[in-house]
Amino acid sequence: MRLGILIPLALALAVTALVWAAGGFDALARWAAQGQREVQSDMAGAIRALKAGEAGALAGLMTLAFAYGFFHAAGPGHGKALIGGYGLGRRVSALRLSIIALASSLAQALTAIALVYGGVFLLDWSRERMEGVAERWLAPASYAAIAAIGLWLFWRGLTGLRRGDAHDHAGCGHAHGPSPDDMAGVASVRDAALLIGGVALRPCTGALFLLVICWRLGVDMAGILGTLAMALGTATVTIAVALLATTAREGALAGLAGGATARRVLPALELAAGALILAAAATLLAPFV
Amino acid sequence: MIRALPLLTALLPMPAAAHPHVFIDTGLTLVLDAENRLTEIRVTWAYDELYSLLVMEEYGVDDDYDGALRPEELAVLDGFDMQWIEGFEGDTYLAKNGAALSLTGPLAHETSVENGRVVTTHTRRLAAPVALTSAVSVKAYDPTYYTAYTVSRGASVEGGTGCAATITPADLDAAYTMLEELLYGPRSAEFGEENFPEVGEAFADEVRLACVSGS
Repeated sequence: MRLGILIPLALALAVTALVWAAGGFDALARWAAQGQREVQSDMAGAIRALKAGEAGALAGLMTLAFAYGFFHAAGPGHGKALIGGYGLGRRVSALRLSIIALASSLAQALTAIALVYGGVFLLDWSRERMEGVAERWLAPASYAAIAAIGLWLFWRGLTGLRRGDAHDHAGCGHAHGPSPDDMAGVASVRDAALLIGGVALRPCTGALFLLVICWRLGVDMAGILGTLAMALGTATVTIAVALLATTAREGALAGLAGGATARRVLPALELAAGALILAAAATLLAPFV
Repeated sequence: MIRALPLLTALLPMPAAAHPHVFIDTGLTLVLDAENRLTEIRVTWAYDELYSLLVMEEYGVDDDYDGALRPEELAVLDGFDMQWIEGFEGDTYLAKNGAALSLTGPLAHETSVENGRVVTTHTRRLAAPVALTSAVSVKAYDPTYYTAYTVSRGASVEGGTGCAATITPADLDAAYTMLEELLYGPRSAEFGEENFPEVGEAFADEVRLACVSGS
């Protein structure tokens, strides 16, 4: 039976995308950690150069911040698992998911900026207090949004499977079950908002460091621009995951156009991706419960 | 789908705690008494450039931004990392025959700056002098791995006779493999960001203090 072969095939492709997404490669993790260490040192030098008024210092800081974002995202993180899982579970165009990945990284930068400047000007918070807010309130909120996405995919997959069964038994011609075309229906605005929120709510500690330093030094704009450059660096990685996930899904399902098997496989894939994201969110949320 | 589930749990993202934001180069000096007993340990922490800059700016020192501090500025900074909250073990762990040795909190401390990096040194005393009948193991690590320590400033012995400290760098491949087994293996569900065991320790270099027999 074809179904028995195709599900493992789809999952094998999913694994390729998600092992990376989950930071499962030793060498990559080591390389990313070393890269971050070096960039972190250079960034301090660039900030001092900027303060000293050296020409080209701002461009140098932007480049380093971009690299920091890239290295940090190449290591383990929640953004990649969420974007990758969604791309496998739902039919969404590579372009659209890439835009969502970019938007979520930029929104994550805005969270850091809002937290630091809101904390500084409105509430007179210390950095420890800001990090505390990020850890104790924003992190669980972010994971809850991730859980919501997982639950949504899981539920859709489940109802899709049930309707597929009913359809088979009835054996009639009209499409009560979801066809691949239905599945191609645009990922809703609500999905996009949840994805962006899931990534963005938890600001990056590195961005908080950069913002606080630049605020103290009176070069606020450099800190804000640097944080946005960091987000672009992060986005290169999440966009790569988005492309990998959507390509893997399309590749696995290319031969299934419209058949009864597709009506089974698509919801099953959705169900699996939903379960995966839910399990990830549960692990992340566990310490807060 | 059921068969696929163990596979799926292998894809959980690593907790955020599993990657560091602060990097510290550590130096250790082990102080022995005349009877070759370990009595004190001096710990040096050299913070990475970015965290050093953050600390200097938070304390409002280095107003000429050259990364060097005047004595009165150093005095402002001194002790900034010595106000240890309840439950903080000081990120330095000693053991003999696998049993942990207890230490006092930081006694004396000083702060300096080298090439824009904040460097602090503090002394801790062992609860009781420890005879080196077998080797003592010293590791510097943050269990949560928010801070990554490397014993790159060396380990030395002060006092005593015939004793030496040797550094064994962390086996990073083994550390990442262990991390993955803990995270993705059958016990992964027990762990979250705040109860994650031994991650930092797996990335720790080990210093072994031993004396030649008969000395």
